[in-house]
Amino acid sequence: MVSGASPSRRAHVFLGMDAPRFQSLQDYVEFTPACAERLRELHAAVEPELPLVIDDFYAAISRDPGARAVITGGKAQVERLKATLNQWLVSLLLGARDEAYVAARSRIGQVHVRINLSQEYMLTAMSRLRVGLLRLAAQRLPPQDAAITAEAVNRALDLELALMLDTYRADSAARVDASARLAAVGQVAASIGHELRNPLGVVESSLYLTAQRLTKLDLHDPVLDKHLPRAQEQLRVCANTIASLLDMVRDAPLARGQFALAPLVEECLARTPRGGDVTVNVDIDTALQIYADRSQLGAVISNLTRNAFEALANAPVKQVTLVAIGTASGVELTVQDSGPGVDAAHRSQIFDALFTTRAKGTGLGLALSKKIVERHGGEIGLVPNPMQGARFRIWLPAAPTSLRGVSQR
Amino acid sequence: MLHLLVVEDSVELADNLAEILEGAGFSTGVVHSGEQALAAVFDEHFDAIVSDLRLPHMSGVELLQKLRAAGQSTPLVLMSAFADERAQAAARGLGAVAVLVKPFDCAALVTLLSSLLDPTRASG
Repeated sequence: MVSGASPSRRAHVFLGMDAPRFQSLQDYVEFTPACAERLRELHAAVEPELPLVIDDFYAAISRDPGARAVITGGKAQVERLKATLNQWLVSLLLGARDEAYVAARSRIGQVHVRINLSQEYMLTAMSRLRVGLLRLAAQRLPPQDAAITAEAVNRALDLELALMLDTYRADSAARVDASARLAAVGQVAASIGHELRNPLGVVESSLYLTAQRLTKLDLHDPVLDKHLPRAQEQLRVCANTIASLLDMVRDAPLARGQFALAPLVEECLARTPRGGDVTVNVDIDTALQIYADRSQLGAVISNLTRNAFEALANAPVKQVTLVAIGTASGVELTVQDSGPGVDAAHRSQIFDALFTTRAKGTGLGLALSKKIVERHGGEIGLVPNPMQGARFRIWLPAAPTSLRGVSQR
Repeated sequence: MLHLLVVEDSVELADNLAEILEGAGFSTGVVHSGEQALAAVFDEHFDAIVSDLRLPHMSGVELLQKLRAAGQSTPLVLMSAFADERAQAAARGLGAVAVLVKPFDCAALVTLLSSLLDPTRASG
């Protein structure tokens, strides 16, 4: 179990499976009052040994890089999580299966969703608990009781899985809702964006004329010298935000071709502002070809490198590493930084449109990147970083065989 | 002096563009619709046209089509609040020199026009 993070900031509130449905599932697996009684007996027999099951559960997590990645708070967090798991086991064995029980399970499930715990880990972690409890039952109960208790344990844990899957499903439905809402809001925002571009064009040209006039008059005034560039810069920010928003809403047609990845990465790095003390390592074979819309992939790489550079602002070690590997099926590009990494509580949301943790972020960069990569039939995600910092992985499929060898500039 | 036609329905932007282009050493004519632009082009010589893409009644692309159909090869730069690929592709296909998305860098427009126009072809 992983819990203890701050409450969900999602707009939707999912209180868990409704009572009649939960009852029907209990009926389905035949979880009866007699089963509940068996679990209470098991608790009485094995309570002192439950920490063994808990230790095994976290030892398994610590051995697996994928599972380990969801724990970001070190030993202290593991200790807190062990206490939470202990409560969970106690309520599994002793608790009444009422509304409060379902709501508590749902809260835990929501934390799993929020930290991006994959369902595979949820299922396999449950397997470790199952094996641990069944083993204790076999060791501590008379053989004739152990078999019946094992059935009760299996039924109880399968109900737990049903509750957890329900949370994942509710989250997925909420995302579909959010996506539909965004599409509607996006259309309105796009119209407004277009309308704003004309007046922004007037502002841009007026500022340009003003700056030219000052140059011509050879007029130097500290206030004007400070505020004119500031206004121009902020105008660029407005224009970029509108451009990202419009890119997000419309589906720019993909103009795919085969081209060398390394020069594109260099171009993206060259146009991304960064501090002077940042070390950038690029490990991309100059012969490595990728099949993509060059300009749209450039937008994705620029977004990732910009995020990486911005994450280094207060980092003691300032390093960004880009590595690409080509295989027969496609190309994998990872962008890794030595910044503080992505907070576990934000991992499931970073690709959501309008989600940002930066004071100046628009919350569009990663959402747009995801949209572009997925339209290419590829994948983008945050992956565990053996070092500190965030590590993003993009995978794009290779060109269809018939198109290989057709090259783009 | 190179003579440019600015076609822009926003009066303020048309005025600013004319001022910028004149400041860069061009002379300008300003109109606010495609129809006015056609009339102006048949009335006097322009070395290049800077036109908005979305204009009332006749779009910048339609203006370009009508000019080419009439045998006019004056280079045309389009400006647009819309990064609409189809309209941009159509405009380029018809020979538009560039499509600038508003708000664009005015210095870039001046550079583009200066490099585009060979001074030896100046209309005087």
